[in-house]
Amino acid sequence: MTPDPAMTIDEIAAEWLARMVSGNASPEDRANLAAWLEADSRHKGAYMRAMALWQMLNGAAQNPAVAPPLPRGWAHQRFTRRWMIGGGAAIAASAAAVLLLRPYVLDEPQIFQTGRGEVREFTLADGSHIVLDSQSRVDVTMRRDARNVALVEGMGWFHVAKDKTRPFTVSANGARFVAVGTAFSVSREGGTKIVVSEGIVRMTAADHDRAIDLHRNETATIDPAGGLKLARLSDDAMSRQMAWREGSVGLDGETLREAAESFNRYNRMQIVVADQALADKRVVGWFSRNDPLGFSTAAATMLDAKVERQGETIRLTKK
Amino acid sequence: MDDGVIAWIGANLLPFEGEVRRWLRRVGKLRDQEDDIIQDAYCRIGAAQDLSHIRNGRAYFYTVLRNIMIERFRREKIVKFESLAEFESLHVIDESPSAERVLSGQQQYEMVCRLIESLPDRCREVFTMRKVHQLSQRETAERLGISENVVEKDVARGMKLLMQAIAEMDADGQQQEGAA
Repeated sequence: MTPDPAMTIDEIAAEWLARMVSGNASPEDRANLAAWLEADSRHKGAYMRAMALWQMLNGAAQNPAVAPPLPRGWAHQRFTRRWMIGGGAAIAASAAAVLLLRPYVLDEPQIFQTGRGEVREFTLADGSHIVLDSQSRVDVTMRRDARNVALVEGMGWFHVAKDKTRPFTVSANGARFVAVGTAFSVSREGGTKIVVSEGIVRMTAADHDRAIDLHRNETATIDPAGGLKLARLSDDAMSRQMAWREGSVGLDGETLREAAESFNRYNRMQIVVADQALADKRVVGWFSRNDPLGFSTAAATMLDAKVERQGETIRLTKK
Repeated sequence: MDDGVIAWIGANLLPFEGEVRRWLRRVGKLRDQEDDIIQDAYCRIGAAQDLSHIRNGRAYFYTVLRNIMIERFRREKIVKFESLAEFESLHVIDESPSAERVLSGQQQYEMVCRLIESLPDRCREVFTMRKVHQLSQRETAERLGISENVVEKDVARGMKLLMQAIAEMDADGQQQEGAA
């Protein structure tokens, strides 16, 4: 592609983006783009902006089960939602051009996401499995030398197919978790949390230089300020952590507020804890994810509270 | 820079770009340099390895722009006092509670749908197939009975329009009055 000199930087960036996501970019294109990017920091910024926009538009690929009807005026054909995007950006460029470009080439990710109340398992091209919790999303990019998963929203459990030549990296909130063949879950709500259920995962927190190896039953939490906390879980605590995959909520001393939030993620019916002191009380137990009323009743008995139901809202108040 | 950073920029900065640009016009009186400054900001933010500590993308956007503008003011040597005064008053903006705003998944979804819907006819169809149905360029060309080359041209044309639309947008995805 040879940009027209009369175009603005933004327009040239749009042309490059269109070429790079076409699936038809040649080694020459990649080298030319690299040269253009190197020439001016504004070029890099404009291209970055174009890539971010292109990626943001993937947000339109909602799961049809939960998506509202398409706004009027949209294309009429409906296709079956395809979770796997074929081929896309095969990299067949000369090594030099690839290295130069690496930071800027956008390999189009596959997007996997779930709606409210939906927990779903996906199989990746390499045989790895991902189980996504309710209202979660991952963007998966498979490269010849790497398998990259960006956890964009919510929580996922990853069972990684062994492939020593392609490390499997999950990134969330800037932290990275690298596995070769193992199973672990990552969530990004109120900080980033990883739980390792098999094997070893190498963690690099965003502002820590040193990588830390996490083993089976170990968990790490990175709070939003960057603070790191490591812990070992008993087998019992471990099963509670993984309960969401089986349609249960396992509570292990969470506050009633946190517990209510977990249920609210899965259900249309929302639990509201009206009293501050009550919300700070801690609860333990196994509950069916789809039964917020059952949980509320049990919690009320445990904590000596009162349950009121109004339409789609369950209110927990002090007696 | 990685896919995570790109996704982060899309989710946390792009929705606020219109607002940030309007502020830039108000305090900077730098209309002719506006695109440069915005591009410079994206370049700097994209070069950061670590965005995890940033809880408020919108406030971060303002901070980066403020630094860029201070550098530019210094370079220009002639200090524009009127601009600097307004500049200082900016601190009030990003400490306000509304600065905590982040779009919910649903709001983002609606914003993205509105953007695609705003495109002219065939462009819109191409973006619908590429983005809503996640089809490849080749599949899109087959479904629409046009060449891949035409699809690529429509992607470029649509991206140019959407890049303009983003620049003029409110955070809730509404176009500003008088926007292109």
